[in-house]
Amino acid sequence: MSSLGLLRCAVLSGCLLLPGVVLAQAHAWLPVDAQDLKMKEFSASPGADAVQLYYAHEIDDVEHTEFFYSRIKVLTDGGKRHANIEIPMLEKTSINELYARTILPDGTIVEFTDKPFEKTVFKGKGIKVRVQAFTLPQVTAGSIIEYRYQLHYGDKGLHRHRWIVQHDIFAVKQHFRLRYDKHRTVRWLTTPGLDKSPENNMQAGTVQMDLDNINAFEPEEQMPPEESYKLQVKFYYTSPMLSSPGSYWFELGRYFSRGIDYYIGDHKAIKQAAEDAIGQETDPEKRLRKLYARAQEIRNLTYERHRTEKEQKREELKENKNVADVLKHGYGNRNEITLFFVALARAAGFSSSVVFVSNRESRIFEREDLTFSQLDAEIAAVRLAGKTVFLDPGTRFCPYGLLRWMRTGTAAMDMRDPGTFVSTPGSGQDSAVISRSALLKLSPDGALKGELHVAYSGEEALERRLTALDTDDAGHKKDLEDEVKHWLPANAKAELTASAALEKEYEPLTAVFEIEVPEYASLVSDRLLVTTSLFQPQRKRLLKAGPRKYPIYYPYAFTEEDNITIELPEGYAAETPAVTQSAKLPYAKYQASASASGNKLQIERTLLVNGIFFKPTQYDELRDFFGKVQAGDDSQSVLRRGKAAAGEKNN
Amino acid sequence: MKSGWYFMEGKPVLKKTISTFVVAGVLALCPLRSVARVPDWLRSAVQQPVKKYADNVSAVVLLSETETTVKENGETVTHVREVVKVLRPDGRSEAYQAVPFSDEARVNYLKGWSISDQGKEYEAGKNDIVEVSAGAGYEVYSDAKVKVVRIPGVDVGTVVGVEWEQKRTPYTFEDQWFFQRELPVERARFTLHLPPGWEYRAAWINHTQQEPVVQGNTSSWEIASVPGIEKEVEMPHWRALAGQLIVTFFSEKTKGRSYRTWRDFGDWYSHLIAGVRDASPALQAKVQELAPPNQPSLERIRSLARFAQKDIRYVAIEIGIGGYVPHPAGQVFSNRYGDCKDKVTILGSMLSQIGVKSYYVLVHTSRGIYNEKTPPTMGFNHVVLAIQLPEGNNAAAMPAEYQHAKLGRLLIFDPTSTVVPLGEIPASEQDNYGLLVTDDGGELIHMPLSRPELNRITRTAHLALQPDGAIKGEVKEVRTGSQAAYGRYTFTHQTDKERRKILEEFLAKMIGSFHLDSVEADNLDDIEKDLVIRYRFTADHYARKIGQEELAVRPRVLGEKLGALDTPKARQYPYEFEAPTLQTDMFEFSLPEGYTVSGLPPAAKASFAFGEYTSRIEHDGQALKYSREYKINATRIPAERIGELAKFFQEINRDERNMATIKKAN
Repeated sequence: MSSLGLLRCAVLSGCLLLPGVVLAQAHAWLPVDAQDLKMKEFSASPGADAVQLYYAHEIDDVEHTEFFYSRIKVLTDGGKRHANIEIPMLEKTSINELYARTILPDGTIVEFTDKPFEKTVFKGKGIKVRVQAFTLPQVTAGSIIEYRYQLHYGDKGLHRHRWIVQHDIFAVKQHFRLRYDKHRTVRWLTTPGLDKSPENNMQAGTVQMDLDNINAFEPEEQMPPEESYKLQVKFYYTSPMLSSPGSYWFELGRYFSRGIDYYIGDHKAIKQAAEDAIGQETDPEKRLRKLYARAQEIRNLTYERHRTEKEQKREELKENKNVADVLKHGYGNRNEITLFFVALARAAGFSSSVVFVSNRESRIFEREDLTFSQLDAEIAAVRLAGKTVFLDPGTRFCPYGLLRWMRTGTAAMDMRDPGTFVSTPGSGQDSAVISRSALLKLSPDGALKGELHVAYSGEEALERRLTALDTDDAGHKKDLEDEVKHWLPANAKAELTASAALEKEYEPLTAVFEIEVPEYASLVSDRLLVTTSLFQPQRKRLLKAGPRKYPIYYPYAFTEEDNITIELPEGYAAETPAVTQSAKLPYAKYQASASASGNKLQIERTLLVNGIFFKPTQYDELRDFFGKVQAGDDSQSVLRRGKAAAGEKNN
Repeated sequence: MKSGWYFMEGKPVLKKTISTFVVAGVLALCPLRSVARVPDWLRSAVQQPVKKYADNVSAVVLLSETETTVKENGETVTHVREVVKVLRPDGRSEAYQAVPFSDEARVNYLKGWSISDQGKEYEAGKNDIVEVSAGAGYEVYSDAKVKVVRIPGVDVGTVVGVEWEQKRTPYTFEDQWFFQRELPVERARFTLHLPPGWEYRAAWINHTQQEPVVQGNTSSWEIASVPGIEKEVEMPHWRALAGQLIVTFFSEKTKGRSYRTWRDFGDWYSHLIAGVRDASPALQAKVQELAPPNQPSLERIRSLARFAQKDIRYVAIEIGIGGYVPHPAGQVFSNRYGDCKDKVTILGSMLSQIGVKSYYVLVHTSRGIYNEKTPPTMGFNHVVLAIQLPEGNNAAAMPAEYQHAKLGRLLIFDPTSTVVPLGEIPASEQDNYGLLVTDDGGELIHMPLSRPELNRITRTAHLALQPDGAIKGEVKEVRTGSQAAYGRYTFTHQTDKERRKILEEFLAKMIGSFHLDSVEADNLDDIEKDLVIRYRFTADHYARKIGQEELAVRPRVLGEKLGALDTPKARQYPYEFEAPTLQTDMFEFSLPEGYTVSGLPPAAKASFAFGEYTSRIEHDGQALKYSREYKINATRIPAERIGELAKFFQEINRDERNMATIKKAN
């Protein structure tokens, strides 16, 4: 922060250094500092349209109220957007003591005297969500806007709370307070990166925290789920028996584990089904694979349209009370099918268990966050030849040995050992492969035309197969064609002519396209320049310079393999095939090469990234790596009209 | 099917087990209907054979029936029945049927049913209906709401039926019957019941006129086999394409609330806004401060226009007729906020203080919905102002000028746009139609279209090419007219970091690995001046090595003029450009020492009535110079001339991908 910024903060700190308790009790406007009125820009946040001078959030779980106070300095016309305020409220919540005002740059105060509008955002199914909306008058660049209000919950329940510490604008000073129910144990969790912890006054039954100078939250591209990085403090009430994370996870895990064992039980019909599925097979892995296949034969309702309970009844879909019912009915949801598989495996003598897994698509698992629903999916674990094999039979089209990407490399709890966390295996670059091969003909005007074969394996195939479940053949065709058009240069055409193995999960999903890329090669005098990579990058590359704050995150490791054969136009010969390009990191590899043979140009390209999570310190090397990938992809082979072919290969 | 576990007397039991007992108990006391009460009109619609449709048709409307009954007091009851057959998985969304409503248009009932392809029947219950807030999303408050019913059992092959009735106390007496939409419609019927003595006028849009079947005071129209409106890139707004019937009904008792002509419509609106422009003393004082009498009249107008544009914050609060009626000028001034009509109102009020007359112009921000043939009908979504230039004013002609036969020079001005200065019109309003509301009523006017030369981007770049293929240099971009407005819209109200990010995203589309060294913008807030954006960047690996001593460089470094065109299918609808424009690029590459040009791509040239594209590349030994000009003259290209547009884009594509080569001299 610049010296001016520090000075501003010091002035503000002096002005606003009021005990939070006093504020909460008084609920009055804070004095206005003349320096704040004069402020034209805020050097700690150059170019910012507004700055949060003060923010307070006080929760009272004894009186069941919440108090908010916000004072914002509007620095530019763009900052006027903060003058429109919406206060969301649940069913029984009411708003009291709403005050709002605009302080003009000359110090004149314009009170908000209207009533807020109440919008019903949603009403139905016994739920009503409302919003109180209002806007402040006479707001200009240079104004200070502020408002404060108190919410009454309308019930005496103890809710989960959180203090939002990081906002979309810089916050100069913030005050947070929680008055908790002293009869319960309260715990809190701060986001990593927040270098201050709340102070607990056990006698008063309050937790509070004052913070200065918190930067605006600015998400970065390809960062992990934002929720895990935006600074906040989460609060939980725990019972005396579940006061520590260890006891919480153990007790709840044990609770669910018993439920699972009850559901799996010991059923003759399951034993029989296991025997029928295995037949005479004696090899343990083959036996297990047969059981897995049997479990996946169950009609998986998770991938059908959503049905209400009434609809289930109307369609005579009976409830599965245990795994025997799953077998009897022949249908189940993904978790029921997982349990059914575990039951089959146990019946066949395998040591198997259900594993609760956290989904890393929307957030990163936090052990200290005592929310059991973080473990929101179920997979199976089977001990085989001294090793644990994790399996995902409840995911349609998920082949034996593969886990869906959001359940790989993430925290999980084996219900055989409740309270203990394990990590599911990460998937390597071989688990998600796109292989493309094409035989294309180049015309003298630079247009490229021919057949493209694409094979998707592992995660790449699984994701497309699952997407195809939501559509029909025409929709699947369009999805694949759109994807290929997205890979190709602008205004290219792609028509799917064949697709295979859509429902054969042990085979690559393949697709054949007729493609046409106009103006692909560039005509320079009597030469044609041909770009090495026909395809645009699959994932946005890390090309931006500058410091990186948050880690870099890919959904899964991947491999791209391209093998393109281009038949040259008549009268042309390869003069200079593109120079071989390569780049390597411990976790990533790239190579592109071109060679000429007769009237054909052969281009081979491989890109693999074997990792999903990279520290900000690795950003520069990743950026450099992808810079080289791009240089290789954009490298040019030269064809010349009326000249004999150059060297057969240029490596 | 959810599953979960509870503990009951120390033993875990399935949650479902508990709920089964509870539900069973309730059922015993209060038996549920065993069969859905599917109406006969839906059952009979299911019987009709379904034609073969194209692969991409997700559902078809088998029947759409709208029946409007007008009561003597003007109250209107509309009853709607629709039958939709789901053909593809995408069509499952037809399970959700929505009915907009407000305090003036209440929903009496909303019902829904479905019949599966196996003949299973379902009925939506009360719990399947929810209310959600509607509105366009930008309002601080809007009383617009939507009732949504989720009809159970909907899957491919299902026939969905929905029925609702709505009671309206309309401000004006008209019905808009949209019988064409995204889905094909097999049969659509509109029936109008009027009280004795009432009459109506029917006007057709995007469809040939049909004669009604008349029985007493009831008239009905029926249309069959209406194709769906398919999506095409850069197509006009669907309302500009959809077949519609506008029915306006009249009675002596409801005079002034229905209209035969645009003049009548203007009259109605004039009455609605009567008095709102009366100025408060504070507003009068502000006018004196902003526009003292000693200033030239155009300067006074400009000062007031800028105040309405910049100092009245855009805030929309829309309740009932408030969607059409502005707040009083004094209140808008006091709050310093308002929506489009409020901004027009305060500016009109201020202008009247200096003796300048001005008129409301009602428009729709999507071009094509209103045209010279459109009958008088509601459906505008925006208001701008026509300012009558004072007599004797000899200001030079401006792009926003409209020459009116009676009123003389009118300057169309949109105070809602904070980036378009007085004298210009936002792109979407150009070549558009609006209702000019005058003392004589109203008339539909065709708003002016700007010339390409007034909407320019002139981009110049001086770039140094390095032997390793890197380029480094600076770019200057000068924008005028609608292109300046677009640039300001993008850059104004952004932090420095956000501006960098926007520019980085722009560069990343064309240049791979680069570093943006600096970004500067001149005249961002001074909308009367050209917008100038300057930036410097370095890009590694820009030029590609060919062999050991040669580099290939794409001379078109920045800016993509190529438009998207989905060519495989025959185009059905016109292609739209936002506004005429003239864009020029001049890029100069200084060559690395010892290098000389070894190959140049051909020049580009494409010339059509709607636009022109030319480029050329040359060198003088030390530098490679690329220049091009892209000019668009029209806003709309008819479908039958899409072939020309494809050729135009083909030439641009080739030029944008072209390479030049430079070689180390021996």
